[in-house]
Amino acid sequence: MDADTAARGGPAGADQLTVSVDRSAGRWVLALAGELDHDSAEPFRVALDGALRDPPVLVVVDCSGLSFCDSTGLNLLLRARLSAQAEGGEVVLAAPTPMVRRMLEITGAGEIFRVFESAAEAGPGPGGGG
Amino acid sequence: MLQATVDRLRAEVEGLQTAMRTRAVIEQAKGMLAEREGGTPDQAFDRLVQLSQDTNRKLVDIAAEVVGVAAPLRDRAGEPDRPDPATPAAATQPEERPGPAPGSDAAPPPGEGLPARGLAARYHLAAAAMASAGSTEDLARLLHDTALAPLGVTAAVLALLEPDGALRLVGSHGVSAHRLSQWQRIPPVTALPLTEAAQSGTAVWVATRKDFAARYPDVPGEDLVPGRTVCALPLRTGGRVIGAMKLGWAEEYRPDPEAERYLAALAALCAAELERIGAGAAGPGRAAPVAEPWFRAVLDALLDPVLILGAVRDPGGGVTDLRVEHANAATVDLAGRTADDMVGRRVTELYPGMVASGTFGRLLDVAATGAPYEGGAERFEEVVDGAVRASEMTLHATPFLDGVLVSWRAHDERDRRETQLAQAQRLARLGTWSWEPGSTRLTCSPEVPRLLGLPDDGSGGIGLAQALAAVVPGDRDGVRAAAAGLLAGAADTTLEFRVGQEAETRSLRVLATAVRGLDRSAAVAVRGVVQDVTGRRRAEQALAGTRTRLAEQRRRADTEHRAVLALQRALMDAPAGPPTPGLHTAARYLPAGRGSKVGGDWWDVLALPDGTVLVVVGDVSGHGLPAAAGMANLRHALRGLAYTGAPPEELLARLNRMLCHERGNYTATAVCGRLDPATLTLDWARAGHLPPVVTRGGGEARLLEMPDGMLLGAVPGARYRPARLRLEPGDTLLLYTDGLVERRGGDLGEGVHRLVEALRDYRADDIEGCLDHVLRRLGAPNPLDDTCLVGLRLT
Repeated sequence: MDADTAARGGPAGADQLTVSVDRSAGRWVLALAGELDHDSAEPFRVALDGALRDPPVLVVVDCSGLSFCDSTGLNLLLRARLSAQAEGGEVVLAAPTPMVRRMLEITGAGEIFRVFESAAEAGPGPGGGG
Repeated sequence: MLQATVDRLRAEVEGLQTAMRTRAVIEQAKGMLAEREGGTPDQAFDRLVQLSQDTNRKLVDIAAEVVGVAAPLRDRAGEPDRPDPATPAAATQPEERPGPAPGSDAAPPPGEGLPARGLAARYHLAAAAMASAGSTEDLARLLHDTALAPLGVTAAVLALLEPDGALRLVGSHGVSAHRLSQWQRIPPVTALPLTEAAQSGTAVWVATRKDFAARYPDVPGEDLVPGRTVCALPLRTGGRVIGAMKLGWAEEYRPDPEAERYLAALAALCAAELERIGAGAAGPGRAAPVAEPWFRAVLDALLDPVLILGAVRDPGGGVTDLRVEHANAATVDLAGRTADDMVGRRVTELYPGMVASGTFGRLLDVAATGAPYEGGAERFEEVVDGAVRASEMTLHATPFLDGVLVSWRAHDERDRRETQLAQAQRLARLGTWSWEPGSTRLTCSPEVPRLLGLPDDGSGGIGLAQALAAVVPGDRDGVRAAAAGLLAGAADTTLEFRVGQEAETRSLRVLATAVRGLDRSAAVAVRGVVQDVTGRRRAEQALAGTRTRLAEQRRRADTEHRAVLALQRALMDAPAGPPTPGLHTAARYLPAGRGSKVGGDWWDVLALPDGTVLVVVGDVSGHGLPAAAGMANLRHALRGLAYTGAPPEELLARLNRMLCHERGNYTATAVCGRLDPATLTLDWARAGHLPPVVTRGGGEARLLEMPDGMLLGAVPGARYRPARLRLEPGDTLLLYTDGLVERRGGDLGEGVHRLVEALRDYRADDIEGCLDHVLRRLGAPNPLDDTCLVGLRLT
């Protein structure tokens, strides 16, 4: 199992976000922890770009650690979704916190992404199982 | 451990020596008693023990008495002293008297004509002690301690006759070195008790100072031997006078005949011992300077400790040890011992640590080879009372006669301070320097060459030309000018200049003061401090750069912020069309508390040509100018679309297609509604936005249900479900953005709940007041997001 951690984002004192990247079973699992907003979004952007460089790709965004997510985060996801789709891949969401669930419901983005209860349920990627 | 052993052995030796002395007396007593009374020596010993117990006195004292009573006082040569017809005085010898008849009783006859019991005993003890004297000084000391002190003598000197008739002092006790030095050699013509005694061969007594002044009017100042009563006795041995001794009493003293005989006996004993020691027989050349009072006075005048060590030789002549023969007044050693503790003892005994460290070996070399030893600063350690004591000292040793003269200086305090100062200078990259006009060199601390990037040759200075050459060429004139200024009369000067090569220059700052001469104008010296301030300079430069950049950024941010606010203000003030009867509207827009977060919220109320009123609230993603621009885009587009008469869900769908098509990389949420004042019906739709809240006139407030509709700009073909709400007069409708109800760390649901409650609590009729009330209750503005609020009230 490959695992590495990306950096923290945001200016000093701003909301911190940690992104953990796990590449296994032919898919990318990006586990987010902290608050995702305009200031802290950079590591997530970087991680998404990294994953999308390797199409076709299944990107599973594990939201279990997210305590906040605003339109910045949502936009990143929407854009990533389009890029992945263009190459035959997909961006899915996993383990949303109640806050994330509510956001998905209000904005209607819950209709756009497949949402799973956990990263494991998201299944193996296009590369195959193992 | 070693020191303890040495101490113990020495004590044993001293004990043995004492024991030996007392044993000799006891054996003599045994013999004499046995002879007198008959019987065996053992029986005699028992008798002595008996006497000792009966009278509760020490055995040795009893024995000494017996010997004193039984035997005449003899000199060491074993011959009774022959009376010299030229001397009528008090050296009467006990052998002239008849000894006790054999067979007489054991108790000694009453003291008529005999030396007192106590004095006789003391004489023998003194004799035994003085036999062990190794030098004339030793002799004088032992004489005083064992024989004279009991009589109350506080000072004594021994003097020997020189061939020319002068008297030379060879031993003393209780007389200062200074005075001894003055009376060192007494010419024969001097009228003094000493000379009188030596010349006449008789004892001279002077009872009081008055008498003294009367008899010796020419003696200036203080007498050699201090004391109220003084007495000079000739020293005679083998029939000739070899010198004289003088004694002094602090209190007035009048001797009885016993004491006089005692003193005479002592004088004879002294004379014999002096001859033994060989000081008399030899010429003045062999006398050690140590015995010379003037020499001791010189040593005492020195500030540093000085030891005179004499060589201890083995039979083959090799030096095996060194013995302390003299220690000057300043002597205090590592263990805290002073002169009295050290004289007579061996170096191996006093300083085992020195033996272990090899220094003792070096001292032996000095004695053996005659080559002096000058040590550098070294750490010396000795074990004292079980603890290790150490000191940094510099020790010098020079050959002296057949021994060694040792002197040392401890410099812990000075060393420590110097080290600390050097350290402080190094840490602070700071050095001190001074220069005299006309000199080609700067005197400076070791740090200065380092700062200039020059080698430190340890000479404590650097060449002026060298120092200047280290300065960067461009700064040299500045340095010269500052120097000239100081010489000419400037007060303190501060100057900065660079040193080093182009690739790596450093900045130094110099603070210099001129020391003025008496005439107040010309500088006689220039002194100062130089410090490396490179680090500080660089930091300042970096800081300045950062400050500039920061100011730039702030300016840009300010500009943008102002632009956004201006744009928003312009937009929000756009005309809303003719007022509608029965409908009161109000709106609030609060930009995010944090300037950088101002973004893309907007509201709109527009009276349309068909009499309906368009009401909109929206939120564009992002912040700053891009969001504001996006917001303007959508607002205008929506207004334009509204004039087509299309229903809200259609308007949102078109906006969505537009946004998706533009690919502006932003999304938006919005609620869009159209109110028909005639029917009091509100048709509305939402795109990913929080639904409005409606308050019934009766005070009940609720969140409207959410019709389907996703945010704008996500999916091109998104569809929006319409909703319809029937209103009644007195109802209030509130549209808002999430900035009103959402807070970090809080729950969205909680915020909405608070909004509903705030509305419920507002009973007045005034829509403006209602909005303000709501804002207050919800803690607007939101620091991190814009807050937008539109209220409609039907009357």
